[in-house]
Amino acid sequence: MNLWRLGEFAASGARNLLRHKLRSLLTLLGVLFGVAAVITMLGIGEGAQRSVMREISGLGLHNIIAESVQPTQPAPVQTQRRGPRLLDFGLTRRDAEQLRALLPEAEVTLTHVVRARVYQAGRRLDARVFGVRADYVEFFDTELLDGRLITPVDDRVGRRVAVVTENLMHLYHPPGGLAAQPLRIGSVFFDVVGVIRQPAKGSESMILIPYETARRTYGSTSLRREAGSTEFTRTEIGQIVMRFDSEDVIPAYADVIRRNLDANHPRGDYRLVVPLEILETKQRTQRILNLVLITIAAISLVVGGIGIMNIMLAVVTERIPEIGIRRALGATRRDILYQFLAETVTLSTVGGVLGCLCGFVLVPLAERFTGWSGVITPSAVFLSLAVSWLVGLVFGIAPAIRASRMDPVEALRYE
Amino acid sequence: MIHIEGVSKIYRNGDDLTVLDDVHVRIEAGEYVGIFGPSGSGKSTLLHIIGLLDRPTLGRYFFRGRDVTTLSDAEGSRTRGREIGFIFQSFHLVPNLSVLENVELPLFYQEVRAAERRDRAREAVERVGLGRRVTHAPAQLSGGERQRTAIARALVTRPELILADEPTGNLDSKTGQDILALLDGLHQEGKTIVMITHDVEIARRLPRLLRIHDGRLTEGDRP
Repeated sequence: MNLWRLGEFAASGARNLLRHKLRSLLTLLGVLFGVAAVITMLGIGEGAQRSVMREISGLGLHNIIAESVQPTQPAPVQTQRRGPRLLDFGLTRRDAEQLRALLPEAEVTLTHVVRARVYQAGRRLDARVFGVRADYVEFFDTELLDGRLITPVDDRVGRRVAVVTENLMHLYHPPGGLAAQPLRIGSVFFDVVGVIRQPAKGSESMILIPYETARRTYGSTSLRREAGSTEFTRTEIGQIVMRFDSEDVIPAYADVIRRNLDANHPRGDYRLVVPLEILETKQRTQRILNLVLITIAAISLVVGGIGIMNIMLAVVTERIPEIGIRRALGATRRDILYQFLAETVTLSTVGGVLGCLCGFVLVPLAERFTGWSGVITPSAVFLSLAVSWLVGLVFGIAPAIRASRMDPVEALRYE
Repeated sequence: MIHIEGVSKIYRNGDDLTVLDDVHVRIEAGEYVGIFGPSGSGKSTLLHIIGLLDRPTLGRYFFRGRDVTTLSDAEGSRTRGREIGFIFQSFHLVPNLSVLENVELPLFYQEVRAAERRDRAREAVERVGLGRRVTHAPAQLSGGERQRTAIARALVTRPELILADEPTGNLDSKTGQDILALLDGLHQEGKTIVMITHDVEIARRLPRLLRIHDGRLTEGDRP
């Protein structure tokens, strides 16, 4: 059985299918929908996987980030008194020193979280403000899009300059262009000198100012007025970002850091963000979701296969006399087997190809109407085609075997 | 060419049904033999065994000196396709295929290339006088034309042996005469022909006649 011979069987199978156009088309639809579902699910799954990856890797997979958070239970001493109260929480300089000493192999940078409102030309902006060292951007997966970054000199002398993420691009005016409206953070004005790419698509807007500027201008105490009560909060350090050489060591170091910080922070006024752990968790759930989606799609493919089998069993019965004739003219059992298999495989392969094409239409449609992103990879196309081919083979084999086992004498007599 | 020794065919389902009972027969190359008998006498079964479509329950069958009772399905089918041509009472054309495609069919199973298949089929169709009908579907043909197509299909592989199962049974007598004339011509070319008939007139014209009754074969006198 060489390729040429297989081609002849396929061609004669295709001719037979074309003689019953409507029936072939209806049978093919089952596979078409199944494959379209499979490739669409694969595409959406792949897209989701990639967007999770992009989102998390923006945080830096080599990083471990300790963040100050306001504890859920306020310190008991001040709660009974009326009037302004002071809430002291979060990471301290001492924590930073301890972590530096404990992890000499890690690169460490500190951020100062500025809790102040941001305005430009009288309009309030929704953005988080961080006081950062010059090396801050190196810790994250971002790049300079325009202007410049914060320099060590900015930091040392406490310049009032800011770098913003790209969705705040409108704040930036290149030198020599129109005079920029300065940015007001709290009560102090800043010049926007640079724009960086957002580390993760859809993440929050960020404004970066020099660490020393932030510390000197805003201090570590901030004031918040809420429903008639006034609250002062004091946080020494907003974030401690630690970077390691390899992803492999991250889980172990995360444990060490957690143990160390827990000892100093029994109130739980800090949070450890380990992007790698988040990624792994998200990928695990994504994988399960993908599996569920693909399984559902695969079931529709099985239904399509059963459709093929059903039709082929009917076709075999319809063609019993023809089987007898072909046997009398020298066809072996194997020839008859190949003849029917060629028909089902041709049918399912054509269905698979059309289904794939449908996937290329459905995935962008799904993107438009759901906001998901989808990616059809070459391996998804290959997989779908292979599966459709396999469906033809698996569901065609039973009818084909039945046809090939037919006794030629009985087949010739069959009316 | 055909040497049958003690062949029986027994269908075993509950009661044994003996269709052929200890048949002995020799047919030499170039003979023109009729098998004559009433319906249900086992003549079709004998023809099927001769044509390797069926296997005897007992006995041995030598086709061109070779014991074919033990051939595998593939070997039997290949031998059948290459060396034996069938003509049936109800023509047995594949309804979906044109005249030419029907005639090509045996060559397909001999793995003959498409171009050569086409040429040889055309030649065979010309031979039976259907040259202008090659693209017609069997349903568009008269009974005589269908049987001519079937004969062309039997000839296309250039077999030594032609087996005909009441080839004129579904035709009017004029058309039947034409078909018989075609077969006579093939015999004169040296083909071996074995033909089943229950038509006395036809049986009378044949050089040799085998009579079969209740599965028992006898060398027959002319009816």
